[in-house]
Amino acid sequence: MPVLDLMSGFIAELRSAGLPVSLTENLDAMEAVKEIPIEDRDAFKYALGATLVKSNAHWRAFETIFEVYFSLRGPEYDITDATSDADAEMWREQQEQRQGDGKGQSGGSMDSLTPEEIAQMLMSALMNGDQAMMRALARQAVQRFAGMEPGRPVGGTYYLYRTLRNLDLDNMLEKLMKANKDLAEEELTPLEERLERDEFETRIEQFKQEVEAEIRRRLVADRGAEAMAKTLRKPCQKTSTSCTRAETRCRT
Amino acid sequence: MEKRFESVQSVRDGLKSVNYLADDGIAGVVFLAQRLGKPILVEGPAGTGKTQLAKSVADLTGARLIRLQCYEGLDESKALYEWNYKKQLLRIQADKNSDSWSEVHDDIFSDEFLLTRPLLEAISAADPVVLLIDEVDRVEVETEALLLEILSEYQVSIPELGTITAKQIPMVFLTSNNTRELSEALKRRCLYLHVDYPDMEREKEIVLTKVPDISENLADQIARIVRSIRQLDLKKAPSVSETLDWARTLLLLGVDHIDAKEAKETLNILLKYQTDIAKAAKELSVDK
Repeated sequence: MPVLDLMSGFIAELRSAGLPVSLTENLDAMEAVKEIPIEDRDAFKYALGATLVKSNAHWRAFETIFEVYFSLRGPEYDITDATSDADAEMWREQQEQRQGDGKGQSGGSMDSLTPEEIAQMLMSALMNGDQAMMRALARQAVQRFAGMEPGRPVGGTYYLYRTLRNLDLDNMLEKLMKANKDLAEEELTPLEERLERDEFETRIEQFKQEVEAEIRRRLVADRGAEAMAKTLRKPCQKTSTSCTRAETRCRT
Repeated sequence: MEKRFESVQSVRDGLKSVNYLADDGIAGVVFLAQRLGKPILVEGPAGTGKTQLAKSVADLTGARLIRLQCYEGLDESKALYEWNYKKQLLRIQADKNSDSWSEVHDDIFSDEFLLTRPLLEAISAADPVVLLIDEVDRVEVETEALLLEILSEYQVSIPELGTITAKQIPMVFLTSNNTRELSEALKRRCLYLHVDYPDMEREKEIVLTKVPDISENLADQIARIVRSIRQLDLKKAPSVSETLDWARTLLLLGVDHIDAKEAKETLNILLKYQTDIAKAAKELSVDK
């Protein structure tokens, strides 16, 4: 799909999510991306963000739609040549990569691990703040626990719930704190304990976001970016309070 | 001639060389602003380095910084230009008899009698300049309109003189603390950049850069405590500049490890409301 079509689809999607994108801003965005090397995905994203999003309240919605539209289209974020073939290839590469991840850790594929082992690995990854491992585990957890089936008409929230329930994340924080206490050579002061707790909370939150991202990735692969973006409209309007002004404008 | 940025990375490295640690978003938008010749609207909580960004870019590009501090009641004569009324009067009185009226008229509305204010000064400057329009959310919505011509056309229209167009396009930064929503017209003309509190790693880097003698260990602890405090529901969360003040204070006091006692005694540098201080002390269990 050529960049131009992709961009107009993207902007149409931003508008239907309630972001007020004017024609001038649209043109600015087109100018801006010309200045950016197309393979630099981060710069591409900030170029679009700076020209199209003029309120911080809209940033989250923008990020999610961006991810669905651009990041998930090809293995190398190849925006110029994103076809369904590329999607399929990305899918395959992920499978291979996942197996690669598993080898390093346990001598076999991650698929062969028991749920207890997964939980154990997750805990140690969170303990050590091992980002790569957390990402790999997020992928594995979604594959295993979310029970995603092609064409099933349920939203991402449902899959998220299923994945997190199986991982028992609610008790993870307490477990981490206890393990940390056992490890520490001397008694932690209340201040240190509090700081540790905040650190773990941040990591668990990061992991949840990885899981969410993985679910979106799979949904896009299953349904296609356009269909997926439609399902994003509702939650984005509900959660972002500052969308309300734009929303009322949409309705009238 | 103003330096032209090569790439986003070069902006980032350049800003680092003048002691401003930019993230990808900041560097990307500064790069684009120069390439597209568009102003940047920088929004975010107070004390996150918005004004400093403009200063650092001026530093980096070797440009002169021209600053317009906004306040309620700011008007054309303080932002754009003003006729030097007293001098005009003098001119009229000086040779009452000799000149014809039309000559005098042409004369008193010339450059000589024009007092340039920051916006006009930035437009008419011959050397490279960075224009900083600080705290733009403080002016009334009506006054915002003053800025529109400058921001989109880089020109100022003076009825008596005609239109003054910029010889070069200056880099323009507008900062806003988000106390009110800016008009769509203004936002549309700008690139938008939201600068939030830095994440823990970046804040630690900032402390290490700006407070040279501090130990890595202490900087790490400071960043972690500040992050925890920002997560609390406070009237005013600590800004980066307050973090730096705190770091400098601890350094002066010769503290190398923060424990409950030091934290409690110095919290008033991070937080400026008594209720916030009490709350943070309680949450961090340092109030005993």
